[in-house]
Amino acid sequence: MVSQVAKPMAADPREQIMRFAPAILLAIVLLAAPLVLSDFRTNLLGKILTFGILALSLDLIWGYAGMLSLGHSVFFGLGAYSFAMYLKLEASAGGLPDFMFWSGLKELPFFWVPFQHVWIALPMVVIIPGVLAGAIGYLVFRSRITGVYFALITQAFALIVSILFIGQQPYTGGTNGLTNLTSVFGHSIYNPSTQLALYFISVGVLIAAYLLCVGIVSSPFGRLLVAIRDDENRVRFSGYDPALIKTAVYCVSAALAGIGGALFAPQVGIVSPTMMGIVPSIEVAVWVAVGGRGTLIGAIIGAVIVNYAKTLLSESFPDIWTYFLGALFIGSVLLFPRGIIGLLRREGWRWPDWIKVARGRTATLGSITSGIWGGIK
Amino acid sequence: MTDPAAWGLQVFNGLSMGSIFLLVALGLALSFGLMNIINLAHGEFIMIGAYTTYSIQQAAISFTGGPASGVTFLIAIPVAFLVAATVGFLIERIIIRHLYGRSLDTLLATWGVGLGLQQLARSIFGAPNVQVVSPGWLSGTIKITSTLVLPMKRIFIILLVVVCVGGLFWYLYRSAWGRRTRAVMQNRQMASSLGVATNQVDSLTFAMGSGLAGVAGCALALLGPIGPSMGTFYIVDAFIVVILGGLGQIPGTILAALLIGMLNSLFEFSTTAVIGKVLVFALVILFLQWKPKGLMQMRGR
Amino acid sequence: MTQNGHQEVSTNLKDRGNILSVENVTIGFDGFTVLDNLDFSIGYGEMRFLIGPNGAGKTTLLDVITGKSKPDQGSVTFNNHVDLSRRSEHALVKLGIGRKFQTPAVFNSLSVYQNLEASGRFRDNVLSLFRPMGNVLAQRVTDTLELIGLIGRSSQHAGVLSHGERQWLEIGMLLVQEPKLLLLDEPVAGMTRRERDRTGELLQEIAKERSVLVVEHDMEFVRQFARTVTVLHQGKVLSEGTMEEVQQDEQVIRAYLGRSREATRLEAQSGNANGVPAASPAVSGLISAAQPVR
Repeated sequence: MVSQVAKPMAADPREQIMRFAPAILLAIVLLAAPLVLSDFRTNLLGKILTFGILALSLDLIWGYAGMLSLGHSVFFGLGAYSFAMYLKLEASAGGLPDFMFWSGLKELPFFWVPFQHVWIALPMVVIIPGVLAGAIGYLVFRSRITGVYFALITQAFALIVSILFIGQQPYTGGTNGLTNLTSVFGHSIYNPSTQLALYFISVGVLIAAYLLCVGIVSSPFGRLLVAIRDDENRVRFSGYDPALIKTAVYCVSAALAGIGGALFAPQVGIVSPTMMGIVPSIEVAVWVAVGGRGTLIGAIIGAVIVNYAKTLLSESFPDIWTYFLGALFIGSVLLFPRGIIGLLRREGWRWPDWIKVARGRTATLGSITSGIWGGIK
Repeated sequence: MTDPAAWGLQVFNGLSMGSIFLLVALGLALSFGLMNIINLAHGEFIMIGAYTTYSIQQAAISFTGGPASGVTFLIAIPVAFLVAATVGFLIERIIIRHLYGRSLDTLLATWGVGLGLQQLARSIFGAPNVQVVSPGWLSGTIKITSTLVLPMKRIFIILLVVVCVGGLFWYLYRSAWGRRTRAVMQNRQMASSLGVATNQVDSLTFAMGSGLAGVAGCALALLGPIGPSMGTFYIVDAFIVVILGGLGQIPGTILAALLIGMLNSLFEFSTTAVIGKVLVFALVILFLQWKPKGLMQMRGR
Repeated sequence: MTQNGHQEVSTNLKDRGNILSVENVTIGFDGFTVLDNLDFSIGYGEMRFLIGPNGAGKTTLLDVITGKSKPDQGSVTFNNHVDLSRRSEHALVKLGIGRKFQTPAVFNSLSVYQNLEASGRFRDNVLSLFRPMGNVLAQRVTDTLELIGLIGRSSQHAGVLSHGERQWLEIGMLLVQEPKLLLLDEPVAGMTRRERDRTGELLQEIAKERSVLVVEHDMEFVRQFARTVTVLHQGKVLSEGTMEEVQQDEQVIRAYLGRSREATRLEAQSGNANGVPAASPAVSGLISAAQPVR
């Protein structure tokens, strides 16, 4: 009796395979990619995969709990800085980092000292973003700031942190950031074998992060996140403190973003405040939207596709890229709000009303699809 | 630091900065109160207003062949309002309308619009900043005490904002469309079933808010350089103002704008610009712990 | 749900005083007093109906009890000794106070079953929320599904349920939590007659094991299912008693109609009751109820 009703979720195995098919396919493609790509392209893809981890972390809170953070690059950046501080000290070979010397510092600032040790720097990659997210998140969620207001506050947060890093030239390297990271654990980061190793580590971490997120969203806790998105007040009147749940998932998400950042630093060799500002933060949202929010795998696919398009377009036609990106922002919410994954699942290509009016014949089709979309929502 | 006149000047600068924030934030507060959306391209209306001012001045210079006269700037103000309002009207009609009830999606779509507008400005006017020549009658100063000297420009900006806010209040509380706007703000469904054309109210109010940001652009053209992404410098402060002011509350927005302008200016003076911004942000977050709904919270049943 | 024994328990409970006491509560918004020195209480195992014209303060009273609004003065005591003021909403739920809102509030993207599960695990901490639910709760979820009549739809999304089914689901979500006191704000609003009757039976079933406070506008429903009725008017208790007692109450009739009983009776007898211009359905329901039994 119980078992019959209690497991309406356990779908049949075929369906489970279909559900994870894109993820398995993607994992195979990523693992095989270095065989066909040049060293340069592999390194580029490795960098993009760290963006994939960032996108994943945003999808966890936006796609499921409905919290759109427009400052998520900050956590990515903090993770990147944490590890880059260690790398910078490694590159400086016991001496004072070059930018500190130029700024007239005589000795290493106290908060840099622990980062000489990798066993401190690595945990900091998750601790700093996690704790900061916990502090800001708890204050914000406690005062019941949700939706648009949360998005705006996180955007202001991104601005604040980025100008803070720019302003503290002697301690952070200012606008340039931490440059000339040359080696990681004694291996030159320009060495293709180091880059290949970092690439595979990125793939591995991405897969682990994906599985972690799948685990979270398919647990009762994950369903509570969806419940908060649907009706936070009902959750509160069901005896939960939504502020606590939201803070918890925000922390996890920030820590994940931090890990992504830490993998970014050695693959690019430079971290700078520009990767933490308002603009990079909101771009993460478009990766997720393009891929399909609330699907996890879509976030990764979106990050890879948009960033690959960016490197292709912005190198040769920077103007066109900006217009394209603008159009992507508009199109991903107006035309295909379910993203690529949604299109694959044939869920929601949504005709905007003015197209419906302009093309009377498609009106019925449009209303059917938007009806379906409405049902899904 | 100890000089009272220096502090007085800071308070005055804060007031004039706050009044510009106010002009920008009013449009945001109006459209949030009405449609529950925040337009992330709102900063670009500032940019449009500033470039309009610049264009009019350039046109006047090439037409008369001489230096820009003081009158062109006065003409530029209503034109900037109209241009920004028209662009706002179109954006509301073409995009925002279709995202009704999806506030987070609206954020992303309007950000895309903002990107496009910035790039458009870059294509038309070039990436480097341009400058508006302030009219002669605004370049002077007014001596209040022997040490406290206030620049005319900033006094003019404060007066301009007072006029705009007065006009907005007249519109909202004395005109027929304003009455309809307030009706829709309070109860959209009821207003709609009583025959108020809610979508016209939406477009009109949105256009009005965009126009006000355009006027803010005019004012900022007096103070600094004009660039394609100038809007982004001011927009975050405007967001903070809206958050502090309370959900779509106009009196709250006014109070918050002046407060933020003042705090920014005073913190900046006593520490650095960066630390000032951090302190303001921290203060707002802490304030929201005490009053989660902002300065003017509407207590409802 | 195992019912044997509960009837007995609840009768014994009645002697132990009040599960909820509201004393001298005053609350106002913008200078307008909504609850005015209100005294109100519910006994253990009691099912109480709260009626009153619009703006009488019914929903505000629920807001005060559930911590959504803080009263300007006065106290709310639960279980004879627990002071409810200054406690957050979720803490009150943990004490055993469940509340259903006027418009059904369920989690649309979750299945019916998951809605009940999410609701039932409210005592779990964040970490234990990663484990599947225990057998006891699973059984309770199944029982509740049966009770609210949604067992056949357990795997469907709550978003596709009809209005009435959503109301039942929300009641079910409260029941899995086994509250001591259940507050229901207009549980039959917008229901068809059949759904309404079904809900009434459900309420009677529920009330066997706990105290229930029902705010209702539908007078026919109240007449049909109410044992004790409290009439709230302008933030004060106007009358309390059985439906018949309340209907006969001079003050109640005046409050609802603003005229003397004689005039009411005259009008009622001439069959003109429903023609009173300002009469809301609730008012006309009460008028027709006030007619002498034929």
